[in-house]
Amino acid sequence: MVGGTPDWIGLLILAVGAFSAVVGVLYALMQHDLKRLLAYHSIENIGIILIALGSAILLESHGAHELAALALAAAIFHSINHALFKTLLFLGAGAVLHATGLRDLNHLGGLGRRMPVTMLAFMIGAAAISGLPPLNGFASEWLTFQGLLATAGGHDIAPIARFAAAGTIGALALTTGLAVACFVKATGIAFLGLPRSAAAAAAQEVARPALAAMAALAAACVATGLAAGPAFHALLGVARVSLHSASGPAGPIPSTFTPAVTAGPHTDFAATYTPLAVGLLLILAVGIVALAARYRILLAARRVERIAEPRRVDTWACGIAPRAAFQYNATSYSKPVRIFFRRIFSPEREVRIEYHPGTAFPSSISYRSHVTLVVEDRIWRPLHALSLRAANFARKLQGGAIQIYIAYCVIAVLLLLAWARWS
Amino acid sequence: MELTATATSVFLIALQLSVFVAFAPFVAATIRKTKARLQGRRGPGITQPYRDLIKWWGKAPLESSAAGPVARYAPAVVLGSIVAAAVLVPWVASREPLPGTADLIVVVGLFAAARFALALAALDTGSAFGGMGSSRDVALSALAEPGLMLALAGTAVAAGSSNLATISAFGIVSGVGLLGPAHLLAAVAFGIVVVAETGHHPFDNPDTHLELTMVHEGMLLESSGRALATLLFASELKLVVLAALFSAAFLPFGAATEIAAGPIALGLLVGLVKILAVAQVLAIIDSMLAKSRFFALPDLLGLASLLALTGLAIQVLLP
Repeated sequence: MVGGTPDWIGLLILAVGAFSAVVGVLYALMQHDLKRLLAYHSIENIGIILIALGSAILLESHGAHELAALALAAAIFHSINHALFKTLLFLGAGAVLHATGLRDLNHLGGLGRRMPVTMLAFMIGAAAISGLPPLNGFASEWLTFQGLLATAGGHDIAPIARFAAAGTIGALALTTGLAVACFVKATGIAFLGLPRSAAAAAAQEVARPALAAMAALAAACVATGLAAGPAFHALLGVARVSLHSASGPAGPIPSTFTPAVTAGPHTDFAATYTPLAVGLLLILAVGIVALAARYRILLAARRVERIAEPRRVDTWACGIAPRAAFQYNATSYSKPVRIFFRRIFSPEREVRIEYHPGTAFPSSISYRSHVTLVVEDRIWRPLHALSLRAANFARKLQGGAIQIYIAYCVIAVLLLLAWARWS
Repeated sequence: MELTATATSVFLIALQLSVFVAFAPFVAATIRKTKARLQGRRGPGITQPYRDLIKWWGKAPLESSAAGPVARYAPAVVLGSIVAAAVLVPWVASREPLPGTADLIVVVGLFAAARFALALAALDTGSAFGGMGSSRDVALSALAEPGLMLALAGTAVAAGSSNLATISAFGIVSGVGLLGPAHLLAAVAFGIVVVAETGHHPFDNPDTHLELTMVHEGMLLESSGRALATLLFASELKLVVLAALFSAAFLPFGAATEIAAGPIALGLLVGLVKILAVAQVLAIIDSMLAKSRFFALPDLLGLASLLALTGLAIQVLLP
């Protein structure tokens, strides 16, 4: 499929992938509509898939067939994983919409207490899409990183391609970091803290079948993450066949599965990730700490006050009753990123404070914040305008009179005849 | 002394983990002590962090009425992820503690998991300060990520693997030849990221609860009792693990390459000295630099990414 492709195509795909990943996640961070936010993350994840595909092309065209198959398998694996966790997250957003009638994060909050199963499922999806081990998103991002590291380290690969792969490692790392930021925001603002509207405060957990669908997809994210080894080896077989039918004999499809994900022992780059071991280690470590805290083992304090159970109190809000409006919301949560990337967003804000004459306290405060989405304004809007103009021109050809259409047909036939006669 | 491979692994994991756990508050104490001395104070005693942890561990936490299971269980996930990373980083010996796991991307991923849990927990109490710390921390860490990955990628490309044990063994074999310009640039970049990730000047001030500046402390503000003890210990342990990661990737000399009593004792000693040295450098940086304006920090993190990328470019373009 990708064998024998010139370098520039691989480089172009790598560049488009890196651009799409970084811009997708940055735009997602600027959203406070939950579904829109998830949609922008699709742009990000397709960028990651393209990055893996680009490194597959670069590796294949320089003869690193095994590593190319690895990178291609990473692209397929990430597509499958993205299908799993993105479906889960959209179902979660749908459950929130069903329960509250809201998609705007700035009116949500505190849903976790009323919708605990939805929260847990959404959180697993959020952890998976953020690339946290040992879930499935991490496994395919690990493989994508391996493809890039192998490209950057390949001695037979053109220096420009190696440097491009190195730069893409930075872009992919930035993307995963920003994805963590975005999904902490989406999960935390929607499900945690105090409800920001009456609808959010009155939310009810969705029906059992809807919960079952989310639970099944969350389980699939965990299972695919832990069984990443077998899944990857199966995909590696597919990748080998599709690569080498074009450029050589098909490699053997492995029939034995190992629990480890291994990056190419055949070349000068090799690494192993064993999801089961990492997962068990993590569960063990978290479990021991949680149990130690629960039963206060280790250093059971004798000299300090003994209060067995946690006491529940209101959050301290400097002496006044805590209110939902005191919390950070989706817009304020992404403010650091908005300012860090101000060259891209050119953020504007407008704060209007009105006072009653004779009082010190403001009677109303309004806040408006706006970001410019450069890619939309500079690339898509002009393209859109251009295609509209082309369509307008085409409409002039379509006059509605049947004689004109017959004339077009006659002219077309004459032109074709002329072309056949003199070409 | 002949040991089977499994027994050796178990022994090394137990040794490394118990040393890290016992040692982490001490490292925090030395940083405070050095800072106090540089400011002309005597500072708290070397056992103070231990006494603080014991005190808080004995107290039941106050839980916010707004908070739920996330705030309650997040501290365990935070510390558990850091402990898992502490097991995986090769430190005493340049050898994989568990086969097929000592991967640098996995370690970076475990740190991300800890950050994810802590940042979520900070939002659970509905406090403005929690949201403040959380939003700042995830934004800064996202910008630190490229520098971190690019710096480690440089060592991975040189060693031909992202496995930390292979990287560490490659460094020991290369000897002084390892310390080329690419390696040094990556080490400086990684150093900047360590300062950012451990919350020292100029990124964060570990000694203050001033709402204008706090990042990490903002997320801990609503924690108390055992939860606070867990989270503070997690951040102390994180510093030790980051120092061990620095040593494995950039300064592996001294780590045992064979499993025998002598090399392991030496590896332990050298390893401890390296971690303490990293901590002292952090303390000195803390005393020399002021906390920087929050929105000026991206420049510094961008510098770290560019240094690491330059290092990688040197490696790739000038063979």
